[in-house]
Amino acid sequence: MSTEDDFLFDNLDFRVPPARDIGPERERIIVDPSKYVEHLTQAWINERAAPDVLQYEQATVDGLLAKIEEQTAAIDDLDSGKDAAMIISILYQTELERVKFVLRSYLRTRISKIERFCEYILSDPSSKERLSRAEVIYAENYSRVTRQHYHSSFLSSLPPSLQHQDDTVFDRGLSMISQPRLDEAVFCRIMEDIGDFQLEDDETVELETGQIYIFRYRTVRVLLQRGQIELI
Amino acid sequence: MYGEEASKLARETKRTIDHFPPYNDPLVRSITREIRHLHETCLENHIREATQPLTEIFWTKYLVHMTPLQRNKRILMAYHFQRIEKIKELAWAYNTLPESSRRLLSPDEILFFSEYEKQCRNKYTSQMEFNELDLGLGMISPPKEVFITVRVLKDCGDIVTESGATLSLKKNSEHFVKRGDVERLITQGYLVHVA
Repeated sequence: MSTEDDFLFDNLDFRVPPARDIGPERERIIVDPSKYVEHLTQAWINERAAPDVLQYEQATVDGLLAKIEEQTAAIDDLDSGKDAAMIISILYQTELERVKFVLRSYLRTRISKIERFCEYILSDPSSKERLSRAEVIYAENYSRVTRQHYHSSFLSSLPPSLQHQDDTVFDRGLSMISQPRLDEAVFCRIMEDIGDFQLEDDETVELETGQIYIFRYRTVRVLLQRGQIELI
Repeated sequence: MYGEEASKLARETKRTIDHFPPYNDPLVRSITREIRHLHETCLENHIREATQPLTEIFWTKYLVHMTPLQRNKRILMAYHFQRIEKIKELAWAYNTLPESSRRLLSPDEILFFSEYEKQCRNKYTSQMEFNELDLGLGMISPPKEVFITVRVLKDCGDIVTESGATLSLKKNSEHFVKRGDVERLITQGYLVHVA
């Protein structure tokens, strides 16, 4: 095998060499570029397991998109005449497709949560803060488009006092605005020694690295935001 | 009996959770009519008895009218919500509304489809560097290989692949192709992934 091929294999575990042009802005990013995929995969798992919308991983998504572009160019540059290059090209492409899949699924998972809890998110500043700019625009447009649709489909033919979409059914406190169920149970893995952690009912547990627990989401939300636990 | 029509709609909503029936305009109309009637009755009672001290009979009447009224509205909301969910699925899979689905939608829903597509889907997917990602693709399973074998379920004519070759996809034929070239057709149900 030629030295050129060796070089290609060396880079296989993570394909892209460290970014050459690290601007002053890039330096503030905490996530190491070679950990983007890992980081996003965990963010994707968290997002799918958590009942409400989590913080948008702006830096990772942007970084990964840039990497995908670089990698696509690298694949195009491979000499497809040689057999070895062909195999490597296929490996690269497979990995690229898989990374894209995670990214796509991550974004779509967020979109589906945003649609489901649209009115709630727009009225709750702390949820709204966790969205990217594009997602806020999405939520606002979605809210407008669906309101319009409900209105023209049937609400407009009801008496004016009944045209709202946010009534609560009297006595029973059933709201028409769906909210994330924060009391849902989540499985989580403890990522660092936290020590005694206070649960709601005066009970404390000692949390150590590597343990797996099932908790009420509301209780451990803070830990997830700080990255001290991950969902599974 | 109050609430009977709405029960029908609720049952229909539940029954059709997995498929997509035509919009049930007559039923929706008759339910909105019932809501208006209930509302008027409520108001009349209220005006008639406003001068007198509120009695138990008044509250009973109020409850009898208000409960079906609110239930009717909730059912209408649920029915439309479920349809919206399905229309959104269509909007992510197709760029234009397929003729076969168009027949099932009410005029308002057709409008919703195009508004949703324009204001939400396209605005979101067209910004930033998302051009490399086709966000509308199926989210069924992560890709394991670059080339896959597909069987054609519905004729879809000729397609041009990424490498520039033309591929003619005729019904019942099988092809060994690059996944990226045909993924969208799989999502839309023209092809099925066999191996």
